[in-house]
Amino acid sequence: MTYDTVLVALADPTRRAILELLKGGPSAVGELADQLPVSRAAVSQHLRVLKDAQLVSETAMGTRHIYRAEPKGLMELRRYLESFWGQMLFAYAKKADKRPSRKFKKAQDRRQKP
Amino acid sequence: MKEIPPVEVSISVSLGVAEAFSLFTDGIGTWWPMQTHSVGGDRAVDVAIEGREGGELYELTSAGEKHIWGTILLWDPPNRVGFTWHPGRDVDYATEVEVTFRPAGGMTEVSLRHRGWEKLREKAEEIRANYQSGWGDLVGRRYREAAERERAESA
Repeated sequence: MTYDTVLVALADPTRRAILELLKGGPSAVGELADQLPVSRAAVSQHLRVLKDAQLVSETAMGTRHIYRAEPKGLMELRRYLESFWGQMLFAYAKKADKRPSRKFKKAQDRRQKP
Repeated sequence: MKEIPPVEVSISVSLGVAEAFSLFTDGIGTWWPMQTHSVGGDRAVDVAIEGREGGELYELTSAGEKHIWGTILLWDPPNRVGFTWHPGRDVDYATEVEVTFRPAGGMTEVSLRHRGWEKLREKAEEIRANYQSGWGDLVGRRYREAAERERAESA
């Protein structure tokens, strides 16, 4: 479901920073990368995750790809967090995130290696 | 009476199915926000699930009170747990909650289904709406109680 993807997308500080920048107005990848301490390739990757969560949308203008913030994903999340069981499952997931399983942690370590 | 649709929510966690099940059930006291979501409120000190069919789901308060929230109807580790749900209410007004744990791409999808609203009869729609709005009936009750106390004190 959408809010789940949204939670994952927002769990990353760089993605939150990108979203904050886009709230100020539409931007191209390069413009975003200039304002962040990460590479253009990393920004592209983060934008893809944000797009899957419907937090941003993309329009092509010639060779330039312009990204803009979309409120739809955030509204889904808000609806989820406003519900009683949504809050409970969110509290549960926060606890679960603090103790990732060994299998998952290994996979994560592998991904983070350059 | 017309059937009232269940409340359904789900979330994925980065744990194996067995760990996810165990955290939800045995570990419920470690994550349940009991200060805000309990009968005793800030006096709640523990929430626990007895892991067997017929076992209880209950809350303990610092005053030593035990509030039963429900009874375990289904104990099928690590895939499913089901229980009646009537915190702060008489057992006659119990609804039902079922939680399933399924592997999903290296993670575990936890899905919760809360149904049986018809049992609440004329109050069903209102209480269901409370759950959907996040206040929950418990919190709504706590809030009303606190408000009443405040009123009494200022009188």
